[in-house]
Amino acid sequence: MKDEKIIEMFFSRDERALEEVDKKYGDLIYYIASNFLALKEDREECVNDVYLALWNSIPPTKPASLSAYISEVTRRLAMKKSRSSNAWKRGGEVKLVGEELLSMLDDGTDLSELYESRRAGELISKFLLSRSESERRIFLMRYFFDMSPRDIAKQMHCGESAIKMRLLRTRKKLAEYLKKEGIMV
Amino acid sequence: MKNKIFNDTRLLDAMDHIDSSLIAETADKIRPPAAPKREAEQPKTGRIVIAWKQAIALVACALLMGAIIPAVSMLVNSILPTSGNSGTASDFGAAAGPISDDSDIMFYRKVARRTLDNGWVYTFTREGMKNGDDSELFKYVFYGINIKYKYAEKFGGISSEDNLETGYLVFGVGSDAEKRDAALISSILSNDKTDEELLALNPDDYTFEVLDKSMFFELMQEALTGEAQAEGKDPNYLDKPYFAFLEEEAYTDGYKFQICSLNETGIIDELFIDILYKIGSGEMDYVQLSDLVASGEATAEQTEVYELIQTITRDIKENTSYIYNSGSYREKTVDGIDFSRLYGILDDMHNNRFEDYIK
Repeated sequence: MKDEKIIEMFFSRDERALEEVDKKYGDLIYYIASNFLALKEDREECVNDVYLALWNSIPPTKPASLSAYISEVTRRLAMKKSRSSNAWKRGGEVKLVGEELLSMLDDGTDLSELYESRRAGELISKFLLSRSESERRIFLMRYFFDMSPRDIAKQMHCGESAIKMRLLRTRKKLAEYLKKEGIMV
Repeated sequence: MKNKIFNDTRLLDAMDHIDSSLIAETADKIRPPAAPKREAEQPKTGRIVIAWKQAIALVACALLMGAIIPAVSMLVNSILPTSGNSGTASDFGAAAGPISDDSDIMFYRKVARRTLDNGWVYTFTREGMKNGDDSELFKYVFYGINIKYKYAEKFGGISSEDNLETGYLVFGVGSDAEKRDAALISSILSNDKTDEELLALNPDDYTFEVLDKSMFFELMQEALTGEAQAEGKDPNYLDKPYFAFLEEEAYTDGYKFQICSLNETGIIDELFIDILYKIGSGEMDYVQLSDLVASGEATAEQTEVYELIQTITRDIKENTSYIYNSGSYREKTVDGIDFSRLYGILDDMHNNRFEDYIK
């Protein structure tokens, strides 16, 4: 079923909307939750929270892209849950993702002012739009969907090392871009 | 500073504000594994019942690049593909040598490969981080892949199958003997081994049932004692899929082109171009030019076509460009074979339009 139709069903309060979401995006929701949460129970609870959040937020929200909206909702709920329970996956992989990103910024700049999250997000979006689709995809798989380089390599049909290399390059380019935008000195 | 920022999680939070169109673009491309089955339950909304779908097996993407039954044999101790036709590979015709200190690449790859006349390519790769921390990697990878035959029936009925222990995938294990070989190799190449320990192994202590044991140990020796592979220079070639098995959609004038390419870190590791001549109405009713030449059945004109293809292949690999010197060949027609059709595919490969070939 097309996303537009599913959204229409949400708006008409048709409960089958959730079934359709589950059919089309159930695997993705569980997968994103799994990337952040180690425990099966946490994942399943997160998935339930996602469905509830979708039901409660559509309407009034009318997502331009249902897959993006679902991804964002899932990610936020999974991160919230992982933070609240301190349930970092795999001994701190989420933390590792943060450290990777931060390593490029560790030049003594006062980041507390600079990283107002919305502005940073906008700039990163702008930067990503200037990159190739595959570069964007790899970056977001890693830093938005929290996928491991290993899993990204599977999805992209290339070697894990190639993924790491490209992530490194993208991070360096992003750092240069942010500097140009005045984010870094 | 790093800890402070991290504790604030502001950078991670920034990812919450990424443009939704970018998220959609990536989300739509992710192929998640099937979620675990679960009984239908009454969610918190009260009356709403979420009907959890049946787990859908993640089909090894035999469909990738048009492959029906991927010609992939063993992939041992690698995490790469969920599909039957991915893996990892490396150098062939690329400049090899140690990675310079000023390189921004944080890893190295040492590779040894055998390409057999029947299309099988066997590769041993030693991969590691330059800082010595290999804990996140699969250090040792051995696999076989067939770049000549798309259909398993063409090379002896080998099927593909995912297996087995966590972190280990074995493909193309068509017999119990192959499975035993693969499992043995998996045990040999465990990540807690060191290069020195592997090099000290005595091949006589192992018995392979199907795979050429000598070849395996030779490749391991070559890779572990060899130099790191250099990377490709053209960023465009970093975007190539590791494995691509492409062909024209239909037979035209009684033939179609088939191309298999292996790419890694910006290098065209292997390339096999062939012509399939239609000889009947069935899907499998064709003969390959390379086989006609090998068996001595090719005409003089067909041999000329074959040799021209070999020249093109060599040029492409040596220059890491699918369209290298294309002007010299694009307009050629030899023995009724229109080479502009070949370059139609090569143009697509050069421009990363691989998805058009997925059936």
